[in-house]
Amino acid sequence: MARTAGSTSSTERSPGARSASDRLVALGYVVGAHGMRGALRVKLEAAGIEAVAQLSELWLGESEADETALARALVRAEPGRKGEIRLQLAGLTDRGEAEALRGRRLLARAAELEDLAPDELHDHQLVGCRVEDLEGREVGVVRGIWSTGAPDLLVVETADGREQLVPCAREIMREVDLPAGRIVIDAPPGLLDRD
Amino acid sequence: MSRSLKKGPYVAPSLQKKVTRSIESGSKQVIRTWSRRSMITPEFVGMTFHVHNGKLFVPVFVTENMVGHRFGEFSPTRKFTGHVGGKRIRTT
Repeated sequence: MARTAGSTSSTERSPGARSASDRLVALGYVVGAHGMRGALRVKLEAAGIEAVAQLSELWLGESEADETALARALVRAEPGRKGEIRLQLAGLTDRGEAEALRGRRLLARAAELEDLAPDELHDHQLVGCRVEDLEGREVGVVRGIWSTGAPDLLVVETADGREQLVPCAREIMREVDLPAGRIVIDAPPGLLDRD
Repeated sequence: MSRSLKKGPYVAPSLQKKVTRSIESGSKQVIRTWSRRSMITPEFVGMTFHVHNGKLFVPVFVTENMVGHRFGEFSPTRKFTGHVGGKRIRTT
């Protein structure tokens, strides 16, 4: 599976040029170089190879909030070692340049990520949401996601700094209001520490 | 060597007792267990368990595709919350 784009030029963007709708999300990180022509080895954490191959433009930065992240057009994407993808990005033609990017996060525009099924969400959409119970009492704020093999767990930080884990199951997450940043849960007795 | 089929799946008696009591009463109470080696049987589907990982109880909401696995598989003993990115989450 390889993807080839027509463009070979990099698209440098000035810092701060991204609008809110252009929000970047992390897909993985650069683990090294492949070959002598500037190909990158990227460890994917949050997307499949097929999803990355569909993207036209990728960013390489220190974090999602990095305003100085380099924007590069995707020239070619192909499977690499286990859990990795090899990317040829426009403007990277030398192994040394690729190696210098080791550790950088691979970022993509959130709006460009593949469409989701009605019962699916991107994890970055949930982080920062307020969690309430059915009576409207605040449980806390989502600080992260923990993948355990079972339905993922929301890591919720309570007002007193404790951590609560809430499974992402329809029976428990009754309402997800992303514009309002609110998640309503129907926690079974014993799920939360306060029960 | 695999477990003999004639014995059926292993579920710790103490856990089985709690599950049976929960089903009979119709309670949705989260069941707390230390038995990571117990196998997930079809009657556990839809229930939430707190499975101990040596340090804390990890909530495990049981879905159909978890049947036949053991509780310990879903209660990691090392915690890596990862980097939040474009990962898809299915609200099962």
